[in-house]
Amino acid sequence: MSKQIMLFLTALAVQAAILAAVPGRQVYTRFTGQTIRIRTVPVDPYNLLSGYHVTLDYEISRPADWHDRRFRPDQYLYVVLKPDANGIWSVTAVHPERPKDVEAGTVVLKGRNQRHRGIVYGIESYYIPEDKRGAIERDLRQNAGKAVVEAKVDSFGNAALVRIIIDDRVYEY
Amino acid sequence: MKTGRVGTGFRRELKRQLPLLEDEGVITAEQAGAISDRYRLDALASESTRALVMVIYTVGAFLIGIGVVSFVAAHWMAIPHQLKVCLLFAAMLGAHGLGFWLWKVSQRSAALGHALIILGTLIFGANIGLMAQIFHVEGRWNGLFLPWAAGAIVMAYAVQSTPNALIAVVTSFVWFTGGIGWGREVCWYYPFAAAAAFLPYCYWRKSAFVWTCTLLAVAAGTLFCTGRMSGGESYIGAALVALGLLYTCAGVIHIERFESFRPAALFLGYVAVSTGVYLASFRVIAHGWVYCAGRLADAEWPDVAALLAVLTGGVLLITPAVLWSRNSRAAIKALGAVIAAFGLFLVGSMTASQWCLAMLSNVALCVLAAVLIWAARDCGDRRLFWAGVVLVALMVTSRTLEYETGLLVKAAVFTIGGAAVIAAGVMFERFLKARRIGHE
Repeated sequence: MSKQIMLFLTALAVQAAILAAVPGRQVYTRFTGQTIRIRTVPVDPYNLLSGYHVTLDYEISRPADWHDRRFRPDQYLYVVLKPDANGIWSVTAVHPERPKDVEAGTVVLKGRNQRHRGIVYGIESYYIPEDKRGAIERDLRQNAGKAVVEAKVDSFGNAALVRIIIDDRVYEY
Repeated sequence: MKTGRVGTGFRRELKRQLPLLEDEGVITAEQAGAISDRYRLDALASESTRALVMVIYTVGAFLIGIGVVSFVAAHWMAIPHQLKVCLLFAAMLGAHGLGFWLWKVSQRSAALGHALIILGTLIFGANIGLMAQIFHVEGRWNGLFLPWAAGAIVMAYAVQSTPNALIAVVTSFVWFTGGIGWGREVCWYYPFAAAAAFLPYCYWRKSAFVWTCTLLAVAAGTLFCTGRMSGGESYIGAALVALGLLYTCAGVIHIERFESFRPAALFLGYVAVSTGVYLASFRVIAHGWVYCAGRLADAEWPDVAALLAVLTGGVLLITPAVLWSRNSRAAIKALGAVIAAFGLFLVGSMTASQWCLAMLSNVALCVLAAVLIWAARDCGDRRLFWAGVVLVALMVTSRTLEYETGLLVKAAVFTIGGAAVIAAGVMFERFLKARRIGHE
């Protein structure tokens, strides 16, 4: 194979690898992660829709433990989640380092401390179809705080958002 | 036979004039044929056709690329994820593959093939955004531009595609501007990374255009980084002047293969130094800059490293540039002026006096303007002359407006200044005419 073809194929492989790496973490998390359900909280109505994605905020974004301790901005935090009787996961502890031993039946979720937004987990945006924007926006406004998000959490603490559930309505794209 | 760089306009006019000269008996038919062969006048038609076709294909490729990018905004949720991913990869690989086959393998249509490879890189960029949407990948708006730049420059090196290199320069700079705004530390290294990634391509393919864009990106990146440092506004003048010195040195180095790079480097270098000392000539700005040398010791890595690297690079380039290059006197004068301005600025910056810095900067401006006019006399180049005159006029006008002078003084200065500009222009034209007559 000529040198020119080899170089071209190498460049093509690099571009393909970059493209495959973009969702790499999300794909790994979706395949290997444990499913959790977390409750959303109302967001600023003027910021609900930003472009073609919906902005989400969670109960676990501002746990009590986070309020009491002053973490540095942009510091990585590890939040231990445990499900309640309804299957909704909530925070039991916040750690600045990944905890080595956790109770069985809990998951560790990694987030970043952002002063005004609380702890951000990378699942605060959900892209939605343009023709569904109006309906989803109305549903979220009318049922602010009732919406539940189903996500997956992998062994590294990374989360991937799977679907939004409001009562019996499921939004998955 | 070397004809040097002659423009297409010159060749077209020559082709038009040759039959007239032959009819008038100024040249013989054999001489006309020899001139036609030397300047490849018969190839003009095919060259312009090829150029036009390439432009059409490239514009078409860009429009298609924009269409694909617009598709990201519309987003397409009805198709299953797996099929979407397959379609994305198919579009990108198809454009690249077909383009490469047409351009390099079958060589049936180099222009179309190249345009398809450009399209493939544009699709690649759009695909990054689409993949992020499909899998709900969160990130800042500028996040997709860095991988786009990486893919583009790799393809540029692989198939020797200058448009791909240009896409890489532009997208990398967009990523940088988005990141530096957020204070991302990795962005501090952008000027170095851009120079390391793009300059080798410029020298390899002798692309003066990408070279100029790279110099602009590196300069803008350095100034952005400097401004973001704590107390960084004090260093912007030093960064401008240091960059100017570095670029002027690059423009003075005489290597025949890269002759086309020199004008851009000289121009950018001179503009950077002139801008730096012009800003420092204002007392208010000089007040903020006067302690910058003293603050260097307190600045943090990589801020100091960025500045010192530029300064060191400039100094290192001075000696070989002067010793080893066979240069025109104008280029040597330009380098001398820039070194003098750099020295004056440095001395002024290290004093404790804003007046000193402002005064020395005004002296530096005069030196720069004088050398421009001096070089214009040597080369007979009106642009250099008027650039020097504009620099002087700018300096005089700025000082007159900056200080509290009476209206009468302002009136006198502007009137005398205007008259002086006109007189200087008339004298220069007379000088050029006398020289032209002398040569005849």
